[in-house]
Amino acid sequence: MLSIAEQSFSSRLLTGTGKFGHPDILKAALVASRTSMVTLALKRLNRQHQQDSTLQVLRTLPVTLLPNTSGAATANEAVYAAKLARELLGTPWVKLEIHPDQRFLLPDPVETLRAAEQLCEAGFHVLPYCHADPVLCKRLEEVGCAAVMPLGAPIGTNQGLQTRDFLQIIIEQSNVPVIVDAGIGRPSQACEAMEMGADAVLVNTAIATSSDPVATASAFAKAVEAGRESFLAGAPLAQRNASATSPFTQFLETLS
Amino acid sequence: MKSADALRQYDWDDVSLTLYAKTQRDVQSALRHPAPGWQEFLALISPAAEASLPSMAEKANALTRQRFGHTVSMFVPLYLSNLCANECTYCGFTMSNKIRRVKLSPQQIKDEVRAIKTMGFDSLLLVTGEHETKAGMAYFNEVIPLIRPHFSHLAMEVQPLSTDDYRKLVKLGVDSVLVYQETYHRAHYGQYHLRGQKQDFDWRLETPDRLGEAGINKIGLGALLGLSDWRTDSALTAIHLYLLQKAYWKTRFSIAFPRIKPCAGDQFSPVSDITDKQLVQLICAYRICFPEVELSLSTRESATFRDSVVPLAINQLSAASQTQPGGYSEKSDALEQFSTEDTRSANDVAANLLAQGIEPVWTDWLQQFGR
Amino acid sequence: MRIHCNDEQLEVPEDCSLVSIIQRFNEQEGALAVAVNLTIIPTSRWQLQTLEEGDVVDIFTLVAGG
Repeated sequence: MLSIAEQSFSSRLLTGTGKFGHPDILKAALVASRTSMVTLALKRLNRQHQQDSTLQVLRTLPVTLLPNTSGAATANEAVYAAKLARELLGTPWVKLEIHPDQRFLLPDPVETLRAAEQLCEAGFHVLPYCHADPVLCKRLEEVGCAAVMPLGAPIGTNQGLQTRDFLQIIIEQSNVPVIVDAGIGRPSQACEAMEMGADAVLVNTAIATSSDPVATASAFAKAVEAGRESFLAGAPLAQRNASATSPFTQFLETLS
Repeated sequence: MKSADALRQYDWDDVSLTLYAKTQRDVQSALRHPAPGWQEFLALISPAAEASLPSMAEKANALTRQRFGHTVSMFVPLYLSNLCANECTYCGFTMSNKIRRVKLSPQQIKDEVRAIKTMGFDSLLLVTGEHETKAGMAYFNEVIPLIRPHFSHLAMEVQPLSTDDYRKLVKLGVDSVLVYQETYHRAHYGQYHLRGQKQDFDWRLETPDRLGEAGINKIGLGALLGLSDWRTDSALTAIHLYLLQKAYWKTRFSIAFPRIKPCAGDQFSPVSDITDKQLVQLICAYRICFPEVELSLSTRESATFRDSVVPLAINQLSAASQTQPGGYSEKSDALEQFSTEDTRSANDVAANLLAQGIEPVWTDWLQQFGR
Repeated sequence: MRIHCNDEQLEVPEDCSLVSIIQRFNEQEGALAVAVNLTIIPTSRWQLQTLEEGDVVDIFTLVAGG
């Protein structure tokens, strides 16, 4: 069972709610994904505001709500957003997301670390979205984050685990769950992340924008489970022959 | 104490059974593994791996060159004192041994440092017996400032200290502390350590954690091979290393391979014999499973052994060591802690390395800011 | 008096209460978070909070997002 901040989650597939066409499809996809943690964003109301039923839909499902701070460009804004979300939902969970860069939506490491420190101190369970920087992930862990969420590739690109070498280091070094977030475009990529030893993955775009979100969500659910089982079983290895003789090691013959 | 607590969950007999049950297939699997972990380490140190030693050596060498290039660091130990308040059945400094007890004075230390500098060394390991009152923090506070300015790297191997004391050592400029558990077998440990603070198995076990908390740059681990089954002791040293790396991500680590050698006094014979080939196997297993850890070989080992094995996978080497207090500026007649086998001069050792395409490095260029 | 609400300028009566502004948006219960001059006002205090000239009111809801 996935455990974050001492709470158990039945699924290692976290999902986002953005980019879906219709709330009915959103709901069906979330059910098919068997997800147990779902993200939401905060938005200011305006006069022309159309009722967004996401929250309503989510409240009918057995999921933990994970509000994100998307839209924040600084630590202060992110902290403000997190507190608003906590007030609204009464939840300590927050996905910390600060991307001042609006083209590539890459996370700001400096603001993220600053915000994480403040929010952890204020009692939030902070899940920070960050680049796959092993040192940054250790720093985030040290200030008290409940998990780390390094990206596989930039948001929405579906490029898969471009950062796999660094994800491996993060997974090895982390003492908190590692949730690969962003860039996962196919179930096989989610499976790969789990086989590497990631504790969970977060998928949004790949499900929401597929031609059949419900089927895709189901495929992702299976891929995440398969990857996890494979990791636990200890996957078989590619063959590489080590050469057995060399003049260099001949001295071994002379040893007792 | 993060790593010590986790370590105590490991049962000696369970670990022993697991490692002795490893098969040739496990060994092959371990050699091909892209990121070998503890299970692979167990396979590589098991009897089943003995036949694969050439392959292990090949792989260990490649990994060493890749990470460390063609270099080996040179260091030398300076024994400051052989005063000891412990009774350890295997050691020449044991308190009941009627030997001349010496503690170097500041003047003697200055003489020793001068002599050591002429030998070319820039990396020093300070060693003492374990005597908290007569050679404790007060003594260290006094002597370290005399020594520190003369070396680019300073290590210590003394009695286990408190976290606060380690913080003070860090402030004084100590880069590295070595503390060997001797044996991870609790019952045997009790039989070897009969009197003194060293009897406290857990206090010693928790020392690397205190060092990690204190923010020391490098921690040296090891078991005294022969006190208990060397394979199981090594397996536990390795898991200790894994746990410490996880808990203290900014720290680097080194492993030493002291083998029981004869010392004056008691008729001590090792429980477990580790042959030369097995020692090479152990060194290779460490390199394969811990590519970044520094492996250290002392002058306990013979010249021939060191000449062949150092270029294989070793990172740090002592040379021309005196294992009694003083001994560099004047010939000392105090008793050695153990007798050294490789008695060549530092230059001779270095020349041999060069002849094999390895560059001896005397100075640690990692300058530490704000020291 | 004039206040700001979600980037709009609004003309409101002198003794306007916060809750009257919120009600304009016709949202469901438990779907809004409100701040006045960047200070978050808990739901229990909406009735009590009165507004002053130049106050900046932010009203947030949760929507779909990744």
